[in-house]
Amino acid sequence: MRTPQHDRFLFGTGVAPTTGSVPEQAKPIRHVERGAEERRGEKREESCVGSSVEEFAAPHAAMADAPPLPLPKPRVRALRRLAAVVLRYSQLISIICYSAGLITVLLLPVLSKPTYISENALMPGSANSVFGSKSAMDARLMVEELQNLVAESSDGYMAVRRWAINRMSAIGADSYLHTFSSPEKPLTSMRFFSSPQHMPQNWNSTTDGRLGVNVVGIIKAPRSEGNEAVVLVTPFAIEDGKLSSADKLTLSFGMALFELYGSSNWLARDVIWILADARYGSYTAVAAWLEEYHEPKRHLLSAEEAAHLYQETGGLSEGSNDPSLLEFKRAGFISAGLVYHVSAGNRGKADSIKVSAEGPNGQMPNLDLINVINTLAQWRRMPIHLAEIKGMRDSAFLNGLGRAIENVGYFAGKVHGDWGFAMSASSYVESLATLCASFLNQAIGRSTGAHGAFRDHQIDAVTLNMFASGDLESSSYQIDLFARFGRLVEGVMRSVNNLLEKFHQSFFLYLLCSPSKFVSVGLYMIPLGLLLVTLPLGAAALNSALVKADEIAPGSDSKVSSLGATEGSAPERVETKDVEESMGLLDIKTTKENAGRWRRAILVVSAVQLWAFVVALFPPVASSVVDMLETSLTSTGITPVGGFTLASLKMSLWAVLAVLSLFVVLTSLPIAKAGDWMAVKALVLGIATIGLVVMSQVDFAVSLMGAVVLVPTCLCPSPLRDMWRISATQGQQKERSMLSRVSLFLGTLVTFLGSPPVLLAAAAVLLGNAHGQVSLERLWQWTELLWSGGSALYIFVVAVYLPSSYLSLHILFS
Amino acid sequence: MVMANMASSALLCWLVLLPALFAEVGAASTWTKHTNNWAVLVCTSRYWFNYRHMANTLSLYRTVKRLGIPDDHIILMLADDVACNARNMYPAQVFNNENHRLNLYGDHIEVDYRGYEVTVENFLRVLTGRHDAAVPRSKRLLSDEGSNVLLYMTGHGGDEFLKFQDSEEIQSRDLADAFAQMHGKRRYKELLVMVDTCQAATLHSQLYSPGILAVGSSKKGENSYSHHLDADVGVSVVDRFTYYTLQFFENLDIHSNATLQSLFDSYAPSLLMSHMDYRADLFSRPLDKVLVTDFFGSVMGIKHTEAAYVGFTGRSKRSMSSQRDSSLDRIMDVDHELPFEVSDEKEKELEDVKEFNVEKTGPGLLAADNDASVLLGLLALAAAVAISSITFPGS
Repeated sequence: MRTPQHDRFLFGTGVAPTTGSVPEQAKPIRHVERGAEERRGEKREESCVGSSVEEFAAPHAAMADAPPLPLPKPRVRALRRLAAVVLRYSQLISIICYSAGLITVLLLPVLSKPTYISENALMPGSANSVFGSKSAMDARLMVEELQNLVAESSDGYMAVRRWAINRMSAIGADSYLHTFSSPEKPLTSMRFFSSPQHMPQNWNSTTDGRLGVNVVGIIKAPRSEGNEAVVLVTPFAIEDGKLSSADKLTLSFGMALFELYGSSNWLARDVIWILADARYGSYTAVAAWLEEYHEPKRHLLSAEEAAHLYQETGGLSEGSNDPSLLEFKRAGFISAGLVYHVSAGNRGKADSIKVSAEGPNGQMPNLDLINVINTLAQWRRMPIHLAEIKGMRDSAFLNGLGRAIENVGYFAGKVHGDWGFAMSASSYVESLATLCASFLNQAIGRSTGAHGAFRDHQIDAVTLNMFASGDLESSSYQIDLFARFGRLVEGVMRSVNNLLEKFHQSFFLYLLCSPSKFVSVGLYMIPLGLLLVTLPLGAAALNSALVKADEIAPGSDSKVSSLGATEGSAPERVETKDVEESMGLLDIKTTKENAGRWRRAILVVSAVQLWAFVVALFPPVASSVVDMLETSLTSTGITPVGGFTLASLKMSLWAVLAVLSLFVVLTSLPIAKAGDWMAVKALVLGIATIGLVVMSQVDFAVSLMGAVVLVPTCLCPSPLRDMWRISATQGQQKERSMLSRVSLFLGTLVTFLGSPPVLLAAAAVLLGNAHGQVSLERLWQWTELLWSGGSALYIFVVAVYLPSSYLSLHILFS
Repeated sequence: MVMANMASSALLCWLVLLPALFAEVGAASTWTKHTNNWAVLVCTSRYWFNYRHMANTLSLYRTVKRLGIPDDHIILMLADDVACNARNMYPAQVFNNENHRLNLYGDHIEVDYRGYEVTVENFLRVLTGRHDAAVPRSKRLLSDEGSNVLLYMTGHGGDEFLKFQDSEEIQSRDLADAFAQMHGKRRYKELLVMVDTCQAATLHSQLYSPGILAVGSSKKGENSYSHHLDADVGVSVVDRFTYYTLQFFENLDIHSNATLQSLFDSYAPSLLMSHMDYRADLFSRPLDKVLVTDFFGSVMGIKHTEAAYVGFTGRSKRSMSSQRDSSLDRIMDVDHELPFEVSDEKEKELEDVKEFNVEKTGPGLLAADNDASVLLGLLALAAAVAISSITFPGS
């Protein structure tokens, strides 16, 4: 707001130099008045004023009404002041935010909302069910037929294939056999994020009988354009030449449904039915088929290979030499998938349906798909449930918490009608158990069934596991079961058939508390935000503490470290210190000191981070080395050292490699000076924040779990040395030192609790290792699982958690 | 002398009007009866799950056809994607009732605007008649100032808007302006706007052109609901408002004396699950005097002409008759003023309309003079030929 008058005033009377000198004189008084935090900013301001640049001086003069004889009032910078306050109380704020985050996580079941169908086109249950008693009778007859065929045949798989292909061709559906090899052993390749290759590279591998064969049938929708398809999957496996009665029911049921679709004229999408050969797990079979469907490989069969495959698949009574049986046929773009199978459930309990939806790295199918299933199940009065963590319902702590929440809801409702919520203790615990299971499954990052393979191709799919509680061999029960499950599956398919586009209306990012209650992304990001905000706050507080320390006593290590020990209380103590000292030559020294400290810190942190990345790449190396050793040893006739399994050998090799490389890294690091730890800690906090934020984009559950562990682990540590020092020297401020000693002790404890060995033990206990010890073998198995699933958890643990927690320990002992 | 003058002018006046009175004696009993009927039936939604909107529109289409409006006077705008939808288990059939007795999609369905042609632009073009030269006559609303137009719309709407096929929407103001343009271009005599959608009444809140009667299935803030679900087809097949409208018309024929008032009275809020709302302040006639067949049927005034063909004078005759119409109106207004209770404003508006009419007939009168001059010319030509043949015989 420079007006011409002001300019004239300044230049005409020559007041400008005076404005420059007045604050100079007034400085000491003002510093006593104001907090130390503002001094730096103040200093910068004054240097501007003092630099006789009238351009800068003018606005100041303008602000200090007319003749600037009295002190020019300093501008109050609200943001700066706020930042100073936040930084001063950063520890308190961090504790509040962290506990608020944890409480919000526990409150998620209360905050969850009932699900609703977003997509108009679905119209679940609007059409009469076509799957009636006749279809159920057909299915029951098929059970017998299938049973006889498998019993008569020497090869159960062959019998099932023959049965399926005969029946499919009888209704005029396309059918073919899809062959796939066993999944490659984990860790044999460095590919992590790319999808695994299931197609046999070499068809001679068929000779060892390890070839999986899916039977696939396609019904073309009679009046559609044929550019879209829906996939039904029924996994089955034959063990000891026998088809289990549950699988028998699954297949017969699937066939009855398929035949029903074959005769219906309202299909808008082609129906593809896969009898997935689950000898390597249903996921592998479906993933192989989907991969071939979307990315055809160029593999031309030689006559010999074809003959071999005919032999494998041959003996089909009709069309046994029909080459089209091995020809991979496609329908349109797959818009949805449904995996369903019958399982023997608890006798005496009601039949129920378990819905599994978690795909790789916590990807979920569109919520509308689950909504449709839930709506239809409720309409048909079929109990439907999700996976839940066993034993959580009986937890006394959670039940107590549930009762407390119930009471809170009740009383809140009394106080104000809108505040109340009705949540009984039992339903709270139930919701929490389901939520935790959903959360855990998402965090582990491996899909919970064959539906996960669809998710790899951005197709929405779920698995319906139908628990039949009755006698699976009783024919009347079979009919009853088929009729009820049949109507449900048919209804779901009818809804999907009504769909005009891909599922897109409803949520993709959500957690389920029950089939009819969900927590959406907008809600569950809140606790993560609360947890994460503490990290940059801590880093900023450390930085400002460092800067202050430099101002007070540049180059004095003892003061820096003592300041660090009582970070929060630093500003008050140095308040009256004369600042003239910190100006001039000393200032330059300080910046040098400061820059050196940061340089060392960056070196340490990036070295450790690099080490973590290398460690992440070690498992395939360890695996191949041990495998090579094993083959060479067995060829020379030497048996491996007793007691060590291959897995445990690999695990120990990995650990040894990791520790060795850490030593290499540590020796190459510069010698740390006292006070460096604060810079290191600030950097660790920053890197942990980045890691967690990136992880939240890949897999939210991993990020939230990681934040719960990492936040205290990274925020708490400070050198143990300081603890002794305080106890030895501090005379004054007894209370404060007592407090800080307790907090230091707690911080150390938390850091230890968050360290890898402790967490591993905790995870082992949680995941049901009764002995509470972590066997190397088990660890290796977990690693293989995570690696083969391309799990984000693996990346998080090795590349984010490991370096951060190591550096926290490093700080502790620095 | 003055008295005599006045008496003679009055007599003159009477003499001029006398033949007109005789000519219009049939029409005089129903006031200026409209001369033709048009219907614009619009289904603004598409997709399988909006089956009912197409069934609504087709039902109305069937009704107005049954009551006599011919196909070339019906503009049917329909997404038309259900009859042959792959999801339809009755291929090429559309039903509006789960008893499946009536197939709405029979042999004689003329859809003028189909599928993606049903747009706001096309709809407004149809109303205002501003078409590209290439648009065939069968796709145009060729109404005139004597037309009674029925506009029926159904689809998904909200407060002051109606969605067109999930991609665009028309607002109540657009609709009102289109009607104003229609009025300015004399494209209707009376217009009945019937809308079956959620918050349908909001659509006619902005109307301002005279001669419009607007009916909506629900008030502001209310939803319009479907009537029932056909579990065989797997969708809802008809909306409540339309269902009860059809029920009203089902027992009517072209000779029916049912009035719009009785139609409106037949809508029971308990059955509709919403409150039907209509707006009659722009409409000049009392509703209990307006036959439903004035809009939903083709019952119109017929003008008798003396001869089948009157040569050049045909045009002048018609314009003369319209002039007579308007002058007659002035007389008839006196009769009708009491029962109609037309407000002063409206009367003024109507007067304006008539003045407009008179102005418009101006060129018609000129046309009569043109005919005379042509006749004169012909006579002169004949005379010239005669004179020339007499003066120069045998040359």
